[in-house]
Amino acid sequence: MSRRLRRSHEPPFWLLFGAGGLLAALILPAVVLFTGLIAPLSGRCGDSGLLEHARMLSLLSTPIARLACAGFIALLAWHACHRIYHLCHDLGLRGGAGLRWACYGTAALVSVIGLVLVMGLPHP
Amino acid sequence: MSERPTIVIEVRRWHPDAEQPPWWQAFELPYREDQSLLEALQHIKDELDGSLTFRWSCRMAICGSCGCMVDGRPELSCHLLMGDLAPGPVRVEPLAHFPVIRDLVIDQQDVLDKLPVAGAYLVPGDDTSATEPSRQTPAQVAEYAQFAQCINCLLCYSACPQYGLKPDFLGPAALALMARHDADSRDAGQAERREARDATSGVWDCTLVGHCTEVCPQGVDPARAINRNKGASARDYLLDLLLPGRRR
Repeated sequence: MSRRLRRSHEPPFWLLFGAGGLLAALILPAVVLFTGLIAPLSGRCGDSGLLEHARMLSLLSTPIARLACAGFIALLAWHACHRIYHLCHDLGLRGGAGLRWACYGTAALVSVIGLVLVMGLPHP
Repeated sequence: MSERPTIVIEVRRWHPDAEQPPWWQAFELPYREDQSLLEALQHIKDELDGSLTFRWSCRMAICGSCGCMVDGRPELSCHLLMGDLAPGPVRVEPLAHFPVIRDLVIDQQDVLDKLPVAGAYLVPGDDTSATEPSRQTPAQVAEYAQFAQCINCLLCYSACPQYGLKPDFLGPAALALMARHDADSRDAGQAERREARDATSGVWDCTLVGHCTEVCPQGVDPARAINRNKGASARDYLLDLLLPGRRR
């Protein structure tokens, strides 16, 4: 039987996808809870400044916090783009190398833009 | 004595020698609530049309012979009761994604060829003595027992959209059996199975749709087996990248 086995180069992309999914599952519910419930409720109770720009910026006062934020944005982008790429395959859309470049290129672009924007924020 | 209720079963027929495309044939037959769909098909063959062709053997969901699509879902026909299918009509087709030999009989050769590629057999280690039994603790058995329940009925291959899109994919059962033998304390074949595991047609063709796990009549979880091996494959990919010459 002739069955050619070619090693897959999917693992690094799958690891980025997995890391993004884990972060999304862990952090996004907290973000939704905070921005959707706690902040509006605290506004009603008198403290309307929870989501104030200066306060948000102070969260990113250290380089490590900025790197973590940029990493968070990047991993979510890799997660989403990997899922979209495979969803296209599941739906029978044969995009080939063009689709692969479009999906992972978008993730790489979002990562770079996110890093530049977050690191370039003014210091409080 | 009261009349038994009847049900309509529509069967997708195809005979390679009749130069005719596949056609649907409807049979109306009496049924009992506790009768299996396989028994209903046997009734058709015995009483209504002797040319209807299908595989069966044990009648109790352990041989894996009688798989077919029932109303679009892969099932063992012996594992469905007519009472649950009533009032019908019930549509019965050959298992999806396989070449049809005749009526409900499919050609399973592709999967049979893939089992040895996936190393779906025990590879004894050097220290195995033929005179001594290989004893295992209950914990060691529990490591692989779940994946060892596979009866090769191929329902998971019909359920798997990836196998339908990419016939090269080793597929759920072969990859679950790969994980089953990798997890066996008596086995020494992990290194031999790595090439198939790490290949594009190995674990990486799976996109974790999970339908294989839902249709398995034995409660095997191929999706979990494959994703466990994705972790192992990714670890080896990174180690091979960081330590050149590690592999081969």
